[in-house]
Amino acid sequence: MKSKILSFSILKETTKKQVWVPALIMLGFFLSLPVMGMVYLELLQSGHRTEAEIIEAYTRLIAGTRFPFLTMMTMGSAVLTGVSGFSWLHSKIKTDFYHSLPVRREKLFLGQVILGIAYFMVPYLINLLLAYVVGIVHGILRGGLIWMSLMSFLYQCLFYLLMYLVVVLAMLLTGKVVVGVLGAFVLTFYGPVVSLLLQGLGATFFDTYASGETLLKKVLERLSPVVAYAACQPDNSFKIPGKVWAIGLLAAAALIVVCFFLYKKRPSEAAGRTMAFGRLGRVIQYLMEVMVVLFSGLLFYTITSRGSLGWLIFGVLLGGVLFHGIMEVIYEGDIRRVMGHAWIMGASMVTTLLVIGIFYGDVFGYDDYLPAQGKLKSVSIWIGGDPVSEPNEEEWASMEKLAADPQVYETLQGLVKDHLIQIATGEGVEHRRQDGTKAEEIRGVSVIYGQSGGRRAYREYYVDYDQYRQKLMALYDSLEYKKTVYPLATMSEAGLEGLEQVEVVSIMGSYTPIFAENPQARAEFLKIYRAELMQMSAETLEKERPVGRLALTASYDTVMGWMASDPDDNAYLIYPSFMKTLAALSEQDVELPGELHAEDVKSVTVYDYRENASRADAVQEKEILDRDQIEKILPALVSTECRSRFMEYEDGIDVMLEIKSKGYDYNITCLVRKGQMPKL
Amino acid sequence: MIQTIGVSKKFDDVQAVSSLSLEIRQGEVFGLVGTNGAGKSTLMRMLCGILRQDEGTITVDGRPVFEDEETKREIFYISDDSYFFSNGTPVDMERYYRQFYPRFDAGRFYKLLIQFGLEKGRKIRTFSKGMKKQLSAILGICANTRYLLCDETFDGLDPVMRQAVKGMFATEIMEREFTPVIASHNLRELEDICENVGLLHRGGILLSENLEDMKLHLHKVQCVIPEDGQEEQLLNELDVIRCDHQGSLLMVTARGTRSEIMRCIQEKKPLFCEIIPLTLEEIFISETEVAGYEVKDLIF
Repeated sequence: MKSKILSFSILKETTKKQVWVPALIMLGFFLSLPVMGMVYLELLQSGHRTEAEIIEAYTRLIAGTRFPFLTMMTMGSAVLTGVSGFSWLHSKIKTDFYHSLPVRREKLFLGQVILGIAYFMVPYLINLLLAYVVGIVHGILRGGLIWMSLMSFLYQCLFYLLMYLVVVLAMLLTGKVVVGVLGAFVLTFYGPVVSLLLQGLGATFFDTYASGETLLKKVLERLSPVVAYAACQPDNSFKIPGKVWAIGLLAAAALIVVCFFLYKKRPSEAAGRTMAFGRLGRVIQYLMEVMVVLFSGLLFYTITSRGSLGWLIFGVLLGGVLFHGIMEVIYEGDIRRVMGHAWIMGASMVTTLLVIGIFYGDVFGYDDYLPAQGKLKSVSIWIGGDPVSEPNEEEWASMEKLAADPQVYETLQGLVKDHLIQIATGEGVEHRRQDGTKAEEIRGVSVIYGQSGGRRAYREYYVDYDQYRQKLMALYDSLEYKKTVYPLATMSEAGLEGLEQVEVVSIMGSYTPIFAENPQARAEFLKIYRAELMQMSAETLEKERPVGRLALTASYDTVMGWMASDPDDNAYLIYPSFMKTLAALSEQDVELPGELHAEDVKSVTVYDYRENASRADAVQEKEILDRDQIEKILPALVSTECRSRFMEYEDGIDVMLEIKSKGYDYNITCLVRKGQMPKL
Repeated sequence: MIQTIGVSKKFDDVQAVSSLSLEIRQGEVFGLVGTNGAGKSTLMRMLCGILRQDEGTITVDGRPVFEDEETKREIFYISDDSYFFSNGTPVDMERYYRQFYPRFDAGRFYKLLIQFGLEKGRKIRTFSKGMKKQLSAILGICANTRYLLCDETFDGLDPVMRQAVKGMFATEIMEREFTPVIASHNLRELEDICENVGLLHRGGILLSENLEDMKLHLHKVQCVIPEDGQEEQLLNELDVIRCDHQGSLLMVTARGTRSEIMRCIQEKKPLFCEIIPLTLEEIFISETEVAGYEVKDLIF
């Protein structure tokens, strides 16, 4: 059986004429790994760091999570090897030379792909070994370091392969180097741009639009190896999920097959043309024109104050004509052919208007979407803020129970129905939100509908809060609901002990770490707090003024960590009725004064913009220095650090307190409880 | 033998080669001549497997050439504008070609380099156009393939080097199975080396014949016919391709053997009659004119 790839000696001879490519990559890795490693270790060891800290920092350096050098090397090398390895296809002389040789094109292609991969992997591996030598010299080389850096190596190689093959695909589709590079850029970012455009269309034309990690969005974004690379970054322990490997390798295999097929089909005479495949080139032109025309139409629609269809059509026409002209000049290389193939321009404009029409008229019923209760597998409801993205198993189970609850479903039906009535009567939510003198309080309720097969639909309803207050409060009283909104509610024992830090935040804005050296005691304390949190009613949220909150920091950049330390919305507030929690804190010498005291406040500044909320220059600012007046206003204030969910606040009034301190004065921002603003 | 049957090739809207059928027999020196844009290079690129024909078949020794390694090992293509590696030297090119042509004669390559005065370690980009052409021809010869396709290879060579390269070809033909196919628009270059010539015109082949046979069946005569009416009768009797007057001197290019043409003229009792040898260039012009091609548009 004949070999499908070139012999080693031919690969060696081919490398000789491309030697500058691996040499450049070798230099890049040499500077990024051993040289950077030596400099970094020198800096680390001259500071007061423990050996463990130095090892961790060095591991992160050579695993590529400390500095972006490896990311830059991976992406830069992919472009360099992809373009340099296949640029000969864009030269008639070179194409004639290679294709006249007695060798099958599949061998030429596979040989070049192998070289392209080796040009990255070999210098990387050599310099990784040199970085180990640096580690040995400094006495910090450990098994964990080697393991993580090798995992990182495999991860970088996988994404290098994907990026490299996308560049090769662009080179095969085009006939000029410059167009090839532009093509690589288009192929890399087409998916994410389309995703952004769809999100823009949704946000512009749907009243209940909410961005979320839908399957379509994920797929479109991950069509780009660069976005996929960023999205699949391994965690701190460098455990790369099997799913990432499987999808990555499958994608790479698919790309190789496509490239291989195109290479075999690519005519030699394509060298020097803009696009190698005439018909496919026109399809690509059409797809690009649709994208740009859509963007142009949307841009003109949204930048006008009220958004009119006239501006939208103007944007479509202007974008269509301009971009088609640019594309034709690039394709034909002749300014006189600027309006050639006008049918593509027409088709892209018609497609764009069709797409916009679908969104504008909500043809598929996006806004009135509500799955039948039998089909609703899980539901997540957030009152304000963004919904949690990746629930754990227990949260998921709670979301399933909520979906099965008839009262919850009834609430959802009400949300959808009221929304539709608002739209039908012309009192669209958009109008009411833009109206600074609105009478009702409008609050956003974010909902995720979970359906079979793991599909999710995201919606955000803006509802009259007075009307839904009782229903939403009833929802809050449910234990299942709390489990879906508080990550702490479902955190395991190990998770509790594994938290990096727990701090108590007072209403004055001070942060006090607790149980810093005792994870077990910290876990016990959190259990006490959790029990009181789970028993807390919506009435407590509405009436009690929080005395502080807990700021939890989970392990390095996990979702849990972010969630736990978010001061907004469903933060871990401490209320005066949390007696056990307050007692436990007291044992740790942490006292939380429930009230702001006038003697601590140097001044109070009230910003009142109720008269005309839409005009920044209409804000009335009043500074209060009088102690009596300060004493009057303080009971009405709630620190933004500790604002409670169902408590009602005055719209259009912010208060800034200047706090006296021994070391320095500082400011905290407060809200005013509704109806409690004294006359000053 | 190289054989093409009904071969066509189109580049976008341009028909480069149209239903072309041709036979190049083993061991002959074949000249491919044609006007600019006649499709010579396209045909050569198809013959060596660079381009795939849209229609028809191309076989070399009975096997299709496109994507056939075995067949292509017997063909070496010297392009009009040959590619050499950037910073490459003759040594680099020899090493590279050796990987693909198993019978590549490295010893002979270095001998020929010395003969032609080319330095083996010098960067090719510093070579003149003629030196690059010489190097291409040497590489082609040393690849030891049975077919050597040369596209305008003699263009840019000085007369001495042209003769040297032709001599090198002649030696090869004497010593082994070797079939050079030489494409050129310069007919004078081919006249003294080619046995058979194919005339390409607008993508099609006008004629493909042995050069001597062509000369035997096409003649140019100048004569003076004294009697009125006799001249017109003569022109009717001959298969005239071209006819010019210079005063009373009649110059006729006509098909037919020398004896046939002379007999017709002698019957008209000419005052003066002489057969003039036809150059390949004149044969070419005559044939292309018949096909409706204007001489003034030709570039030689």
